Amino acid sequence: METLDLRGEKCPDTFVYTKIKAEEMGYAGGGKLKVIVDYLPAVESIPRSLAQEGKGYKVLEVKQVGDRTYEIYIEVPAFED
Amino acid sequence: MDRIRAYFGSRYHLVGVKLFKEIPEGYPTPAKPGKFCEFVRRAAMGETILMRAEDEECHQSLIALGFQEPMFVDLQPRIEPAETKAVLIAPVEEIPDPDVVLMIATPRQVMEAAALLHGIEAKFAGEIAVCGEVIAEPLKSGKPNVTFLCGGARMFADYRDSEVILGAPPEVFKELEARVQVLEKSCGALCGCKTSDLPPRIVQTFSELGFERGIDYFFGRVNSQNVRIYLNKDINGKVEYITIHFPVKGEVEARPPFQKRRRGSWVDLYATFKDGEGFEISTGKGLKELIEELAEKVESQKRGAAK
Repeated sequence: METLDLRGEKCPDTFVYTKIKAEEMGYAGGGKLKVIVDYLPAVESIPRSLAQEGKGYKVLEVKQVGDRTYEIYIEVPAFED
Repeated sequence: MDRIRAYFGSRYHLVGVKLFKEIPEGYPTPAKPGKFCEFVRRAAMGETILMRAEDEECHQSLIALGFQEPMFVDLQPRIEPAETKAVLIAPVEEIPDPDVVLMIATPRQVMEAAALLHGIEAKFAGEIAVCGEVIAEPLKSGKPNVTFLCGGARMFADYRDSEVILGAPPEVFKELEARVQVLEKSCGALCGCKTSDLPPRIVQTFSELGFERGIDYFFGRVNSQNVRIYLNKDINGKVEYITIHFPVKGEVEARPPFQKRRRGSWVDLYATFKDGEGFEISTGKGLKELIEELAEKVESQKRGAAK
């Protein structure tokens, strides 16, 4: 599983970095991605924005691990090209 | 609420925002999706926009404005339960009954508004800003709030670094408007016209009546009373009001038409009149008589106080 630690980042950068990382993984064969955020709006916007991408991303779990820290687990499919 | 805009010298319209549980007909929807904070700025420039869920690109705004419930975290401030189907955003004069009114403002303008409203307690976090901090928050609390915007608003909606937003229920802006109106009429400290900005014929009029010229008032003595006279312009720049002050040492009652304002051991008795109501500021016709009549009343009140 790959991890993207975005603590300290805010929207819209949180989604931009997630999208770039997920696309990298998608073109490299897919896999699981853990995104760590402490910007609460991103906990809602990252899963919704990924769903809108239409690339088959699947949010497996959103887990609170600290007062304002959340982990978002995403399954990234392998892109065909 | 044009008076507020004119008083603060704002380049923007005040923006009215109204939430609907059903999509109303007859309002223009955006040609392409955007962000609520961007639509607010466009409304401040004069546009009317009906935003539906499909017009909104920002997920947190959809939650804050009550289009959607959050799925993972209790984002606040937000409108709950989520029953919103559309939001009308337009210059406030285009919305007869807005839920919230917004003023895009500089910190200085917010400072002046706060002073007029006797203080604003701002609650902001730099996130869910225009949609949450100045829409959902004032709607829930019934009180004004100030947002310094969020990263998305600063990045996508073209707000200047020097701009913040004051948001409040319309009643608060009505109160603000009333206070602005009083200030305009009563020559509050914020609004004495500089005598150098007055038309020469008006300056000449007061000179002929025996008054000296100060920076923002005329002064002289009438019937042994010291008198200060302030002139004020209306929102169109026309000199419309005259306020006549009589400084009195010690305690004195303010009987109509006077109001009073204390300055240390002095009291200013003052009264405001509108041009054309028995006198003409430009020609001076009737002014001398008005001032003398007031000076006599002051003398009479002073005698009454001495007894």
